[in-house]
Amino acid sequence: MKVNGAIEPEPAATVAALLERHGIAAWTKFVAVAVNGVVVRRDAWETTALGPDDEIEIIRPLEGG
Amino acid sequence: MAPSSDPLRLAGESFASRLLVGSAGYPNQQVLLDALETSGAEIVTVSIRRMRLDGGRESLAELLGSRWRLLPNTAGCATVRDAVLTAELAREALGTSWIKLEIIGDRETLYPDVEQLLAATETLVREGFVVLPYCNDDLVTCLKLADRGAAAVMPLGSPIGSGGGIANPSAIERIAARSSVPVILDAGIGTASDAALAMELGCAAVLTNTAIAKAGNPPLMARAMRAAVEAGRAAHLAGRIPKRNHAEPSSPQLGLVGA
Repeated sequence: MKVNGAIEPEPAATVAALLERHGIAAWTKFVAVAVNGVVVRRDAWETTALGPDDEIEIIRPLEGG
Repeated sequence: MAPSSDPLRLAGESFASRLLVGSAGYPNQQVLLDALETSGAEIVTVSIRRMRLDGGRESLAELLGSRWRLLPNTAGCATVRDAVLTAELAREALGTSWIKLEIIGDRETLYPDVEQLLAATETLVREGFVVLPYCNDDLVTCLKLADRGAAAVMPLGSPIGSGGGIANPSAIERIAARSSVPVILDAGIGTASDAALAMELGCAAVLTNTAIAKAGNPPLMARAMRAAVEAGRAAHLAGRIPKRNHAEPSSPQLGLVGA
């Protein structure tokens, strides 16, 4: 499992579990997640299962031009 | 002319300010907030980046989101795939379908990749996005982007962050005259007179970041940009006099003393 380009040592079972492990609460605003290039809506974080080969992107807005 | 009587119309919405500003590269957060305030801008651009997973969770969106309309960009993307995914993530994170579409074709000049820009615009418009593409100062590219459903076109004045001003004013003027969608001069603004010129040439708005963020006094430069955009817009609406190669006395020629 890869998260934001880095190998995740321990695979997580769901998107919600992965976020929780990294201290990102389910109510955190302005966060979005994609699994294998597909956005996972916030209301599906709990129910979206992850596998060992999945690539996950966790993003938020930053300064930009 | 009062700004409220001449709003910027973008994708069916109205904005009193014709200045859009970026949020990157300010000396600190307070200077950013002061500059945004004095700029009078209603639309502020942000980027979409991977979240740090080792703490450090301050959120720019939380700081700015209640006061300004945040316009996410796809800065740094080099392919249609990455730009489309970034736009989709931005929509999810910020709850906006507006996207400043940037697809870079050359890392040194940061010039846009026209081929991919056209393809990504088509895809994103189909997905319901309001697409604002950063593009070359090329008329045909701008017309094609509008054909594919772009809500505005954002030609560069000169390379991003260069402060080089408007390298080809006649190209920008032609685009502004021919475009069916608003033209927002994006990139290359160095100082207030560049912004005024963009508006005099017929642009609907100006987007600038570095010229304000890296100025000696960002809030003061933001105020200058605001005044320049308003002055340039008024001058454009007023209609400038034609240029002549000879002098034309402005005072009456009859009744000269001693004549």
